[in-house]
Amino acid sequence: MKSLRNGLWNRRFSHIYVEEKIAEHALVKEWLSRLPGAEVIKIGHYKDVFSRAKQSYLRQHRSQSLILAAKEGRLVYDGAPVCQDFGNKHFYYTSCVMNCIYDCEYCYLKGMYPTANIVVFVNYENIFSEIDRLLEEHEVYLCISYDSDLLALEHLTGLVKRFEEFASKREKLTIEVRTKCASAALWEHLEPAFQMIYAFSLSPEEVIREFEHGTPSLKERTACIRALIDRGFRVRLCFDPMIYVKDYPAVYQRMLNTVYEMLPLEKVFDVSVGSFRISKDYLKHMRRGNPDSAITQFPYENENGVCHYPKRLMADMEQFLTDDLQKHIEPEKIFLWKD
Amino acid sequence: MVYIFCALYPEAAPWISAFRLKKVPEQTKFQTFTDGKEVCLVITGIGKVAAATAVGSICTANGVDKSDVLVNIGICAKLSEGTEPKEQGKAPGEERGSIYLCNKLLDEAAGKTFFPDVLVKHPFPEGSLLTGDHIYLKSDGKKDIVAELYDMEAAGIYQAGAYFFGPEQMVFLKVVSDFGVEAGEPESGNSKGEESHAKESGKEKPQHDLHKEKITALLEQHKKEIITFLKNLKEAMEEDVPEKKEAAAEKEYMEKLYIDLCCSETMRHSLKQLYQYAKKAGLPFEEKIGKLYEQGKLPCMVRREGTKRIEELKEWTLE
Repeated sequence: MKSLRNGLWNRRFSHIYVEEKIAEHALVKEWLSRLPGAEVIKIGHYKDVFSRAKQSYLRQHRSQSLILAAKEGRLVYDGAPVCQDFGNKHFYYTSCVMNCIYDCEYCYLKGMYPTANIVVFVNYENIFSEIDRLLEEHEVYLCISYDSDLLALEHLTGLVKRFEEFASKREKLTIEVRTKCASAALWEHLEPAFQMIYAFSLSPEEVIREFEHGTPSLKERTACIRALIDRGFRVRLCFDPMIYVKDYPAVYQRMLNTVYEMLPLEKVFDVSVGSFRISKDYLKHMRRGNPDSAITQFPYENENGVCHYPKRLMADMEQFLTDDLQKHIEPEKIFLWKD
Repeated sequence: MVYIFCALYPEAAPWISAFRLKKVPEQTKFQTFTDGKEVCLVITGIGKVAAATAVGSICTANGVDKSDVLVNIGICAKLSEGTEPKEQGKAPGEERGSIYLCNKLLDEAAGKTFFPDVLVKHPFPEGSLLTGDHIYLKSDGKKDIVAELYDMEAAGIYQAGAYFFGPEQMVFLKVVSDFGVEAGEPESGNSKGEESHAKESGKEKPQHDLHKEKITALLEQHKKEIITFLKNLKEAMEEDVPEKKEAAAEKEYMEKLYIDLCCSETMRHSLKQLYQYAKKAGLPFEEKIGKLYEQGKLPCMVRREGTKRIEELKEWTLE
């Protein structure tokens, strides 16, 4: 292999593709002003760039482009069966952003999308209208950060703040924002709101270094969570996906020790646990796109189209974590993913 | 390999000399020049169809992998002579000789648009390019609304190239030679127009040597920066792609193992995956296989035995 020379690649968002129909949108102008010097290229439809054939996820991730577009069709979707619903009956998700600035080798986005470029939809207000329509019928539990890490892009888009302001006026709405972002400055502009749950994905430092490229360390994440809990934010801890590594009990125990040391677990809203699982079709794409990865090449078991670790290993890993967590947090607060 | 496609010989001349390319006598349909290892230059002739045919023909014959790049270098017309020039410090109309890297290609006849990825740093201003089927006449008008530049090959090269290359492997560099020609005055400045007319009129060689030199000179002035960029582009495309020798040795090792395990297609797939997993997870796969040979468990006599060995290897990866 040749060594990587990052100096060869354009910086992230050096190129911004903008749908012509939204070129004059105030939000587009605001976002473009935050990225001075970027090359702006007008496009007809975001899929003209997003859905091209033979794109290289690995190479594009070294120089991600930004695509600004208007979302069409359905705006709020039913929660996917492979996702934890935390006991919520009316479970939905929405995507204001597609793709992520973080580069986690296990991320299903790599199997779902043909590109590493990031699409941001400007018409979040249409999503708000759709949520209001659903709220007329029943309570809504909405995940807004599945297909991206919205908070990692907050400095550019400010979308989480907009959701926070929207949700804080709607009692029957609960929003989950999943993230690995630990930027203290970023959190300053957010306020604790009862309707918002910030779900932090936590992994052992060894897993972060090996597989979660470009993400904050475990210490940075736990320090950030601690500060948020102190400010009154509702925080969920997600030990999901658990990634198999050799000697995983010792590796995960070290992570848990850091968590116990840094966080007042009695103040954590709840906890989720789940070992890595993925649709076989996504895994197929990921293997093609990144053949040189221990995550993609692991010999998983395929059960009804979902690939997961061998059952015994999966049970052992999850049991190990839940057993230890139960010593520190009430069992009813621990959600274990079940098929 | 860097595949360079130029419509005309004068566009190719700077690269033939810079990379010391030699003509490939066996290539009779399209003039081809190569150094035998890193660069292959093809003169496509004028127009989208000729250009696409050349790309398809050469890439099929030579084969293309993830580390290869396709580069289209040539002259073009600037569509918006009276508008703000892209290159700073140049007044409108003074852009003759300016170079652009095209980030958007429009096929005028098909009404389709293509976007080569621009992932690697470069020193050129960027622009959009319209590919048409005839010489650009100023009287055509309004084409500057859809693009800044005009040529007759790029969109064809992209569409043919897309069968072989990813969008990040294709680069389109265009140097402004003119601003379109007046109707009925094909010789009034559109350099490629003159070359085109020479070709279209059935003359094998362009008649105006002076203009040939002008075309070469227009490109020649950007030679240094283009060569540096192509080297960087190639280096970027080679990152993460296994060296050919390494890949060949690995393939040979695995092929022997497939035979010794009596592998079916599915078993080959599983074994290759296990090998890649073990390599990445830091497990001593080759040492383990060596032990199996020592223990007489390899080679297998029947497929059932091979299946059992693969299951054992799977178990081993989790020990």
